[in-house]
Amino acid sequence: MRYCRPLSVLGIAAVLALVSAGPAQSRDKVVLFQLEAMNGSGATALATVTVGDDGSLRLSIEGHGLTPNQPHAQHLHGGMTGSTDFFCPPPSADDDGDGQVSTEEGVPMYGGVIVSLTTRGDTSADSVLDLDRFPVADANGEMTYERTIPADQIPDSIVEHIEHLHIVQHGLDVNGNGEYDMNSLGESVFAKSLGADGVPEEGTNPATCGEVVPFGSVDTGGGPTDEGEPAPLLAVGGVALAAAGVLFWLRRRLGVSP
Amino acid sequence: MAESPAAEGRPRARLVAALAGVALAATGTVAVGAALHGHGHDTAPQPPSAGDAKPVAAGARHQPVRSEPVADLGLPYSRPLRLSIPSIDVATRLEYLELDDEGVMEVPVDPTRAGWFSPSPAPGVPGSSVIAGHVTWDREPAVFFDLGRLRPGDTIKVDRADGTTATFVVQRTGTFAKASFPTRAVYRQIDYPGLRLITCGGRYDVESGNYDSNLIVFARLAGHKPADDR
Repeated sequence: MRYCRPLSVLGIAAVLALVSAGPAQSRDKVVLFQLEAMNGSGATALATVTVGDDGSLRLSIEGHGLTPNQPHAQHLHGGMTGSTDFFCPPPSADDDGDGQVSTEEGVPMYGGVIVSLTTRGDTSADSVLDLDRFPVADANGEMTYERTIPADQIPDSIVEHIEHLHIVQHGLDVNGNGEYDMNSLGESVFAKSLGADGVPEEGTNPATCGEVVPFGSVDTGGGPTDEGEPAPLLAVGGVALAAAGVLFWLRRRLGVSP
Repeated sequence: MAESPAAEGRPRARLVAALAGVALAATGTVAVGAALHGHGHDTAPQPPSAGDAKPVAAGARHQPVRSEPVADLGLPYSRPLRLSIPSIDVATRLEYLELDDEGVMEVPVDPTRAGWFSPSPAPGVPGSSVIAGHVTWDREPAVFFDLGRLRPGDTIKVDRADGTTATFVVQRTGTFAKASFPTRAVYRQIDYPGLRLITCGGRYDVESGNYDSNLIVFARLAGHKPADDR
């Protein structure tokens, strides 16, 4: 009775149903991430992260518009203690002015690697750029990733705070030649900082970044406890400027008045 | 974790001054709003810093320091503490909201307070920062009871932990059926600092105990008051 409940199934839930391998268990926590393009990649993705009762993480990621036939490193980023400090970087995070928000420019905003979303084996930050264990987009730039990571590979502290993490997918083809190469952006500064020489910057720059998106509407109308009490009314907002909007407003107002 | 070290190297946001377009678009609503609520907005919203009080054309930069569009600029990261909306007499400390186990946004525990959806970007950094509050509670008006009175051009202020006050200007408001909640419009990543205020609206259904709609205010950073001005 504290919150007004959602009235119906929401559009985004329908989307989730399409990408999710199956219905979530009722005791699990399901968090949806909408990944949007960075650096002009044109890529997008939708990720559902299901936190199991046992502390495992089930990931389902559906990406589109990624560089075809290339691996895309992807990670959960953020802080270990549920810090609220992180967000997806805007284009202005390009401090060096090369036209790209590189990994080293993005990390201060979306945080360090917490989990590497590899296809097999290790999922720690040690695998951050182990490109042969990251998913490869198909010839159409579509990429599907499904993996359940057991609890013992997931830091306990993040399970409680999964909604404060971000998902970043890396790798984009800036010069459009169909592969990651040194010709447009040169060598990856980030990879080099990890001791890996000869990795193209195209392969490590972020292509998408995802923030948590809640399901559906917001139940901010802690309702009257005394049923039969009409709720106070609200004006319809000012999207419609025309007289019709005003009439609607008045009608709504009159219609709901006690 | 780090208190966003990145912010130090990032452009301190000067006033994002692309307000003229908003003010023009708002003109029609201004007249309606003034007639209905007795407070009009006959000038473009004024950035708080005296030297920047003159509206400039949309897209213009009066302090060009970088090559990005002015819309990209924002304040350094800092947590929000308080929300105030002078035109409807709202002044509230902010709760921090997360997701419930079904992935739905929590709502404030205290009906007299609004809450920042803490997984969303902090108010002032680029992105869609989301703050929700109740419209009613136990037959009493709650913190966002008058949110529907906001009109384009109205000012929303957020006091932040670093001592700055971020000032947002309402771009538009809308009432949306909960069944077709505009998730993308509300939460999508934008390259300028945006703020979305959400409450319940529309019709209250006694049988279900629900309002059938959400009222949403879309606003955009217009300026800020530095910590040392307070």
